[in-house]
Amino acid sequence: MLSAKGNDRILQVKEVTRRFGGLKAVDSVCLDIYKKEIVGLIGPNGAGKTTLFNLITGHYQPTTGSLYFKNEKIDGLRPFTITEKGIARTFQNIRLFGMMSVLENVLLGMHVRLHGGLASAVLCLPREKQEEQNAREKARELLSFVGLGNKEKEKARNLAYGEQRLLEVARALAAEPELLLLDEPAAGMNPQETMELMKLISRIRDEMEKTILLIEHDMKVVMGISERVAVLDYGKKIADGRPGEIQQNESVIRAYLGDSM
Amino acid sequence: MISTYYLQIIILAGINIIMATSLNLIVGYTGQLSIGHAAFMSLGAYASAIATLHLGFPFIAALLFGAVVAGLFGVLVGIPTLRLKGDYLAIATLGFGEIVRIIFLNLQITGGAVGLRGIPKQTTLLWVIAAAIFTLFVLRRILNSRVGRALIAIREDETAAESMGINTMYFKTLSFGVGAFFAGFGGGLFAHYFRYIHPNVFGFMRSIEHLCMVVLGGLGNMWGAMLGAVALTAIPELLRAGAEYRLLAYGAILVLMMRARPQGLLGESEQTGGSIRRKIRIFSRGADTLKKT
Repeated sequence: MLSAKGNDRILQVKEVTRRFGGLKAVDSVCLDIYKKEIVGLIGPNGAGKTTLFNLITGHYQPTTGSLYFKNEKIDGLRPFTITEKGIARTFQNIRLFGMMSVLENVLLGMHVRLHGGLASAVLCLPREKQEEQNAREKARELLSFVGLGNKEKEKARNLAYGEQRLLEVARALAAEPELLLLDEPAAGMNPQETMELMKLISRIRDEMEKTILLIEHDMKVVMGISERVAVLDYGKKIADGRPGEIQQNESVIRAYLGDSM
Repeated sequence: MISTYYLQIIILAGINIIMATSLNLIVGYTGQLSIGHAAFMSLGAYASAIATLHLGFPFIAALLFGAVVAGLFGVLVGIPTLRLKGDYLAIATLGFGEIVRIIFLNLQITGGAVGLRGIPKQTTLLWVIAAAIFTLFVLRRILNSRVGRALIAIREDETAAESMGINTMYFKTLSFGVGAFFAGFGGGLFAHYFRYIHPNVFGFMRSIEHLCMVVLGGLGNMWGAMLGAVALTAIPELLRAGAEYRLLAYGAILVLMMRARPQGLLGESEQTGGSIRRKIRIFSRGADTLKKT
């Protein structure tokens, strides 16, 4: 069934291993992601989920194995090049530009889609002015899309925790990615906020036609919105399938609950 | 009109405004601790002086020539050193400053240890005011653009900045180059006002003085850097009556200032440049030992 979608494959993780000294944080993991899918990535703490994200976005380089985005090799590229190619991410430990305004944070997300350089800034070229104006308009649209429409002037660090998570999502979307990586987007959110986040993630896929890979510990979120779930344990992928299958999978249950069960 | 004494202080303050605001771009906005700003000033001073003395450049062309030379050196030095972080970058820029000083002490064309004399006096108050306004205008334009946003993002969180698609090395080097350009510009004005320049005028202590102006005024605040530049130009003059005790008082004022208002006169919060201030603090301990030896 999956092979029929071969042309739609957007990301291919091929036999990727990442060692830190003697530890294999990610151990020959293979993972394919197809256009407009929502894929959940789960696993106990320290299973290598965030390391896998860092490998995809170029913050780490694989020890062995390779990564392909739209059939183009991306391992070995710097993070900023990968963002330009169309992969954007959020961070597990929120990494906003705290002293900058909410709007500026989103504008920074747009960095790779804007062109203004030193000369156009100094010379006040009309092209630059127009571009800035359009960017601001688009940033405001994105902010109201995630529900932060009335917060644009606030400093990012003054936002509530859940709002900061939403701002990270808006900032990532501003880069116009085809593939969006969300690292524990619901962490620290209350049930109400989590419900809204789930709706938002579905809308990002349906209305903006993005592909989403998300790490999440909240099983209600993962099982509720993912079409497919991949499970990592001690760096190895131990399962990959529909949420219903994963919930029944014995090695997954063992990974979460231990052998004694 | 104004006496020559006051005129000289005002002109020096104007040049210091150019030095402090351009250093603020590198340290306060981009978050890269540079302790070699005086070296770029000296590159601009010597290059522009040689341009007027030996190459017959008109004043404005000589000023721009000095600024471009300093800017180019800024980029050349920035490419290898900006890979370093924090204290290591500070030490590398400090080393660069010393190298420039010693080279100028030993070159024929710069007059060696005798210094370079007979530079035509062309810097006037009007020139300095125009130059300071030009500098502030350009820096403002940069900071309010996509480029400026990228620079501040690098200060706030370099990893996240790179995730936004910001080529951090490119933008750090750009910031260094622009900062050095204006330092060279200020150096040219300096050379054509005092008519005599000597390598030791642009030593380590002058770089520190520029840094003090930025920190005192408020890291990452252009009005703060201006205020810091004016204050640290005027205070030593106001204390002149105290004869040899004036440097003591000057130091005490700086210490009290940092105790009472660590974010600088116009810095808005403890958070701005907190990590940079920490780097400066750690570094200053090292610098003390350096001075003693």
